[in-house]
Amino acid sequence: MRHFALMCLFASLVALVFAIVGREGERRRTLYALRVFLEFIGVGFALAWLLYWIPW
Amino acid sequence: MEERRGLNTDAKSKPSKAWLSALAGWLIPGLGHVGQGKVYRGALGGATVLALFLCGAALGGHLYGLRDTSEGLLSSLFGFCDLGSGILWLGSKALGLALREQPQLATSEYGNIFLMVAGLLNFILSMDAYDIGVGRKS
Repeated sequence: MRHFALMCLFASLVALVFAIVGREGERRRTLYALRVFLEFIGVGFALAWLLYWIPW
Repeated sequence: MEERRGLNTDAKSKPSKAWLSALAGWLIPGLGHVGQGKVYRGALGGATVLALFLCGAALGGHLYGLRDTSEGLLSSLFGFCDLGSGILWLGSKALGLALREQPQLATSEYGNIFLMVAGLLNFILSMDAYDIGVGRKS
């Protein structure tokens, strides 16, 4: 659970900076931050499951 | 066209000012934007870099040196990433904080990543401040 919390913390902070530099306008920034955050979490889960099945 | 896009055309003729903003932004996270009047953006960016750095140190991460060879050539690359935190990196080096590797902590690798990403994000913020300074962005 702690690993997941750290992943969420990391994703939210990185998403914040990406949104600051990547988009203009408050609404577009918010949506972009949310998208980046969800992508981080999604890719994290996908990699975790993928690595789970690889035996080395 | 540029006026319509809200670009800073005045700063276009002053690349030295843009470099100064980038340097200030690297040294003190967010200062580059604050100096350009983007206070909210600079404060938020700086606070995020600071939060990442402090979390990294609290998790047991350590800063790599540029001439570090503990993990081969990658260590120098990691050192370069850490260097991006500017005054946080310099201060930690001067005060001897977050320099010792703590492999006994389960989260130490997370800490290393947090510290490196704090530096990389600050590099991005500095480049953003430069882009604003030369008028590429508003």
